[in-house]
Formats: sequence, C-alpha cells, structure tokens
Amino acid sequence: MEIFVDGVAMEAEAGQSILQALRASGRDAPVLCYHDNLTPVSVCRACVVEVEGSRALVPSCSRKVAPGMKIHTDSERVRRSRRMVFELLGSSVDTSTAPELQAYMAEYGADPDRYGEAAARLAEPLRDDNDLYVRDYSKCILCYKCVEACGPDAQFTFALTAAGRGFSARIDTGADTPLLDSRCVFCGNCVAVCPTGALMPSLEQRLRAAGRWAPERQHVAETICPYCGVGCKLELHVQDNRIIKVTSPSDSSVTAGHLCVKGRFGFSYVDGPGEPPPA
Amino acid sequence: MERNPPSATAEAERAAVAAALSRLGWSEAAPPRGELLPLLHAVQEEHGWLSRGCLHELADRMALPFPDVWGVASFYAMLRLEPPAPVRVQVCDDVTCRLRGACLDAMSARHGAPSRFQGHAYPHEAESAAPAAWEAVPCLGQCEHAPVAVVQDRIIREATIEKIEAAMDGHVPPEAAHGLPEPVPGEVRRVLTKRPSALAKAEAMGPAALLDLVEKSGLLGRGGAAFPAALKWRAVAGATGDKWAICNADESEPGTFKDRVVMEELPELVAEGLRIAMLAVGAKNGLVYVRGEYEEAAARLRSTGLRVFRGAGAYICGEETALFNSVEGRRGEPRNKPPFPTEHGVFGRPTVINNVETLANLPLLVLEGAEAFRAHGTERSTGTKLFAVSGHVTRPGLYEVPFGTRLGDLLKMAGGLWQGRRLQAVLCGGVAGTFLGPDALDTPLAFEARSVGSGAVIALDETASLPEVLARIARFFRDESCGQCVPCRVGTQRQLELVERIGSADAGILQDLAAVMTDASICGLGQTAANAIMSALPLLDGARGHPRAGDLNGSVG
Ligand code: SF4
Ligand code: SF4
Ligand code: SF4
Ligand code: FES
Repeated sequence: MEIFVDGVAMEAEAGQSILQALRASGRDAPVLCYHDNLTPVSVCRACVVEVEGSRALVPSCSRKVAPGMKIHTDSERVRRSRRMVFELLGSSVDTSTAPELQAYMAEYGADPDRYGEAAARLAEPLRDDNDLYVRDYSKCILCYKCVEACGPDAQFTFALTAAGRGFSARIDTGADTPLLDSRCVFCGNCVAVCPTGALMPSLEQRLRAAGRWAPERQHVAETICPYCGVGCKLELHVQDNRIIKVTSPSDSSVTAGHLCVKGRFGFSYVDGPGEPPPA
Repeated sequence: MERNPPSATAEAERAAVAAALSRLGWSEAAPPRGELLPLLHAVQEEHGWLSRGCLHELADRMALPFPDVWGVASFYAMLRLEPPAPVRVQVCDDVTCRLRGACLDAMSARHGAPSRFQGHAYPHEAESAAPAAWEAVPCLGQCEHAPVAVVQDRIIREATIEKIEAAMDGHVPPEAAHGLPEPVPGEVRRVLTKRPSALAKAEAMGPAALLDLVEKSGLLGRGGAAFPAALKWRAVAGATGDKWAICNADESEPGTFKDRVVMEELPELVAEGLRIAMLAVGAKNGLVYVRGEYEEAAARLRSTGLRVFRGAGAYICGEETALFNSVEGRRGEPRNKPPFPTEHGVFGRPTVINNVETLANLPLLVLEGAEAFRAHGTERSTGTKLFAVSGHVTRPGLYEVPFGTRLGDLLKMAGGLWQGRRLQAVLCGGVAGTFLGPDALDTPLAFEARSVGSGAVIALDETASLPEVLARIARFFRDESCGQCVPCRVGTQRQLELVERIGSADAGILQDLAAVMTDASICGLGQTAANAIMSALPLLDGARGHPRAGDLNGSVG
C-alpha cells in the first residue's frame, strides 16, 4: 500500500506498524518502551507521530499503517511532545545508566532542570537482596518491558507487576517481596530488556559503584551455552580477560535474547567466583 | 515461598477467603479472573482489610500469580492494604465540598492530618504505622448535599464537625431522604419521569427499527464524549458471536452526580435502557459497572435484576477500556485504541458501552419516537440534558433542561448565587471541563458549544479562591492517573507542582505540559487534565465586571 511520510510517498505492507514501515525505509522514531521481541505496550509515548485525521498524536510503535495514511514525523507538535516526554522522564528518574534516554534528551533539547529543585523524583532505595541482580527503581521509567519479559512474552513466570498507580506506580514483586522469596527464577530476562539500568547484574553494579566498569576495555565473545541441549547463543562480555556479563542477541532464532539462570549468571566457574581483580 | 507461619491470623485469613468464595458461589471450582475484583471486595468485607495473607490465599485459590493480585489490589482506593482505623472516617475535600465549607480544617485541628490515597506502592512500611484517624477523599458524587463525609460506610450529608464526631461516637446518621424535588420553572422533565414500560414496544419493533430510531433521534452519548449512540450500536449490531452491552455507571467526575440520582430514583429506566440496547445490538450479556462508592445505587439496580459490577475507587475506570480491564480482573489501565470497543471490548468481544443517562433516554425515545425527541434541544444536541449544579448556588441539585438552554438561565433555576454574592466563574463539565467567566452566561449548554462535558456545573462566588480550586483540580488528576503513560503520570505531577505556586509559575512550562498531556497521553484522563486549568488562566487576572447576584435571581421568562 502507499503511505505518505513527511510528504513523501512510500510503500508499506499491510499489518506493519508505522514504526516498522519507517524503519523499512531507513527512517526511525525514538523508542523507549518498544522492543522487537515484546508486544508493544505503547506507554512511553516517545515514538508519537502525527497522522492526519487523528485528533491526538499516535504511537508509531503499535499503530498499524493504512492505505493513503499521511504521517508527519517531524512536525512542531511531534517534536514538542517528544521533547516533553524525555524532559518529564529526565526530571523524575536517575538517567545515569540510561544512554538511549540521555541521547534522546540531548537530541530533542529536553531541559529537565527547569522544574526546579523541589520537583518530585522517584526516590527508591537500591534493592540489593540477592547475588545475581539489583533493582534500583529510582531509575525506572515504567516501560513495562520487565513485566512482559517475565510474563507472557517470554518467561511465563509472572514474578513482576506494576503496582500502585499514578506517580507512585512502581514495578513490584507483589507487596515488595524480596526476590528470593518471590516467584523469580533469576533468568535475568527482565535485566536484559531493561532500557535504563534500573535492573542490573549485581557484578556490573558493584564494578560501576567502584568506578571499575570500563567499556573501553570490554569486548564480546560469542559462544554457545555449555549447560544444556537447547544450545542458546551467548555473548560473553569480557573485561581484562574476565567474564563480567552474559547476554544473548535479541535476533537469535534460538533465544530471542532470553536465557535461563544458568546461561545468564552461571559463569563464575570459568574465572572463579567474585569480582575480577583491579586492572 | 515465605508465608505467614500457621497461626491464628493465618487461620482467620483462610477462613475469610473461604467465606468470600462461598458467598460468591466459588466453594469448589477456581473462579475465573473476572471474579477478582468482586472477590477482593468480599474478602475485605469478611476480614476488614486485605492483608498479605488474605491476598496470597486468594491468589492460590484463584490459581493466579500473587503479583497479579497485588497489582490489582494496589490500584483501587477502596481496597485497604493496611489495617484500617477502628472507626473509618472519610471527608470529601474536593472542589464542591470545599466551596460549601467542608470541615477539613476543624478535622485536621482535632484529629490530626488525614491520609490520602495516591496508589498503594510498597505499602509494607505503612502496615506497621498507626493509620491516620481520617481520610481526605475525592468527590463522592453527593455534591448537592455538600459538604459530605462518610463514617463507617454511612453517608453524612451537609456534614459538620459535630455531625461527623457524633457518628464517630457511634450515633448512626439518619438514612438519606429520597424522591425527586418538584421541577422548577424552566425545567423540562423528559428523562426524569416515571413512564410505562417501553420494553414490549421495543421488542415488537425489533433490532433494525431500534437502530433506525436511535439514528434518527440523533442521540449523543451523555458521558462526556458526545459520541453518536447509533454509530456504536450499528458497529456492534453488525458483529457476530458473543457480544456485550455495558452501562457505564462509574460516575466519578468531581461535581457530577446526575447518574447517581437517576439510578437511585428511577433505576427501572436504566434497566430498560440497557435491555433495549442489548436487544438492538444482539448482545446476550449485559452489565452495569457502578462506581464503588455508590452502594445505594448498586442496590437499587440489583433490585431490577441487572447484573451489577462494583468498582473500587478509581476515577480512571470510567474510561471505557479501563472499565473492561477492571471487569476482567486486571489493573484499570486504559488500552490503546484502536482496536475500539465495538470490535474488541470486554473479554475481547464486541461491546457497546453507554453512560447511564444515555440509556435512560431510550425508554422515552422508544415510547414517543424520534420526532418528539428532537423537539427539544438543538440541531446537533438533541433532547434534554441532566445538569448537576453545585457550588455557590442557592439550590444545588439536578436539573433537566433542553440542550441550548443558556448557562445563566440554568443558574437561575438553581436559585442564583447564594447569600446575594456575585459570580466569579463557573466550571462547566467537571474538572476535565472549562471555566467560564461571568461574561459567558449567555453560552448555550450544548455539545457544540463545548459547555456540557460530564454535565457538572459548579459555580464559584466572588469569595472563592480560584488558585486553590485549581490546585485541587491538579491534585485530582495526579491522584487519579493510572500511571501508565509518561505524559500523564509525570505531567500531572509537574502540573500540580506548578499550579500550587501558580502566581509565580512559568506559563510556558504549563503550556508545554498541557500540550504533551493533550496530544500524547493514551486516554481521555491525560488528554483533558490541563483543560480546566488552562481555561482558568485568563480569569486569574482581576479586572472584569461581575454581574450582581441579583441579575441571576428570579424565574426564567
Ligand atoms: S525496571 Fe527497567 S524494564 Fe522494568 S519497567 Fe522499569 S525501566 Fe522498564
Ligand atoms: S541458557 Fe539455559 S536453556 Fe539456554 S542452553 Fe543454557 S542452560 Fe539451556
Ligand atoms: S492518560 Fe493517564 S490515565 Fe490515561 S493511560 Fe495515560 S497515565 Fe493512564
Ligand atoms: S516506543 Fe511507542 S509508546 Fe513507547
């Protein structure tokens, strides 16, 4: 079908989202809550575009294309709403480990400081209650990705939920149950999809806190998980010849980026337990 | 998983859950998820509050993950996740009750600071703390009797500190009086009238003729969005398979009480209206979603044989897709549209959902026909409209007038401004509506004039503090946002912070907030959260003429 993007006619396929059509033509939109392997929840509103005939802006990550659709991705309205989304997030959460969000804030000229010192922020203590990953909800943008990855989009464990509502809504294990007492099976699939570092492997968190997280000294080695016959593809993140983190590529046909606790966290037998020695 | 050790508490919790399940008919089988909210209500009635033990037990009995149950329970203001005070006291601190002298200051002075629901996030810490002696709550939908309080679930109208304290001491307040007042001159009672049943005639007409009738009548939805009823109906009528018709009785817009009065005084109109809708669209399933605080209305509707589903204290559940999620036992978060309810509604089925007042118009329409219906109102806004008039008028109450009636005439019907005062502003359409100044009294009340909204009309006299009213409105949206999308979750918080210091607030930031909330929020709550506040800004800088209250008195000619 034919659609019009910023005045230019282009081809799109039925069933595609506007975002998919944009990407297929080499364009893009900023996204925070969208993930290729998760059902779009369309809650961050970073990806909004203007569609002629529609009163409000529409989320490009989930709205399907329609024949003849006239889409504006760079109008003043679009830029203003996107800037405000990034600004509102920047004014309320700790973005220090959220590089994409930081980049968007810079690109759109967001000024989170203009709300002043008194503006309420998410003030949550670091939840460091197990050996494998930490939760710092003062960084959480409530994108629901962890809930989806833990639930019906990947893991089917249902250990996480959104709780409360409004500005005090939070991601929760249910009554703030510590992870070891919760339903969590420590697959770390929530950690893998978290875009802000609110969920982070404990080792990474400790290295960062000690100022020893050094991306410039890191490389990635690909391999296959040695534990079982599923044969998940692993990316070993190595710093100073020590494995410091394991991920799986989200385009892997075996894993779609998801792993189990063994593949994700069971690597200390290679180098021995504990942190890598200081370089 | 760690649980409470076996103890008397655990025994009591198990027993409470078992009693709730058996009351709702689920002693044997695991209930479906759609029973979650009714069961949470029932467990709370049995146990007094929803302890973690109760919620774990309920999750197990329903075969649901505990976090899911927690996520739902923590969404609703009426569900108590902490032990309540021995005597439960709620005082409305919303716009109208404040205007009518809510005894908030006296309550604070004598009973300490109130608690206020802002979503239960991580309430385990609060569990050990002593509960506040009283709670400040948003509009209870009893604004014609403002100020209003609730002690041990019993409503106190025209509340005073003395009445509240007497009730706290165990003196049960008298039952609320009932009956519609006589119409005042200028009123046209079309909906608010007892009529013979229209059901037999509707059945004889059949679906096709009913759809034509509704289309010819031009009936627009009375919930606030003014969507043509016939369009929704035709879309659902054309769908196949299992279908639903739902009456939206989650009236929670501050200042709005019209649906409550209809349900309490003329419940058979609502029942007939819903049955006519079911007939017209071919829906086998019907349901009324009643706001949790409207216990009396729910009881009256049940007596007509309707299936009644109680909300639990969440303004957002009046948004149709949030309502569906609530009925399905999920958090009351609105869905992205499309898909629209007519195609993918409750339980994924085609659903027609109409407001109480819209449905209450149907018996009259069936009995009298489209011509007679259109004889009242304007070309676009046909028929009559119920207005809930409150605030600084002499006779707050429900008034039925033809669309197109002038705002000033409606205020006159309500006796004009009280105590001979002068008018400062009128809030039309509830807190998601628009402020009009004293120079706008000629505005016709019609959807095309954008002066109707929810049907709430709140008058502010010259003594009212507009900045305080605006701050209360901003707080309402912050407290009632579901929290799902960024523009509304954070935007309503920032709007509140700015409006609280409105004199020095940066108007550019307010405009940016209004833009992102209006343009990029998922649902109508965020999209309208800045309406009233932005419309009030021009009224904030003094110099303008106030008509004298006397100008408003007297009957309409
Ligand atoms: S913890 Fe991370 S993944 Fe989960 S909602 Fe927050 S930001 Fe998103
Ligand atoms: S990550 Fe888990 S499932 Fe995948 S191969 Fe390793 S052990 Fe098997
Ligand atoms: S606009 Fe507000 S109430 Fe509506 S979905 Fe977004 S956060 Fe929820
Ligand atoms: S990426 Fe589309 S709404 Fe978040």
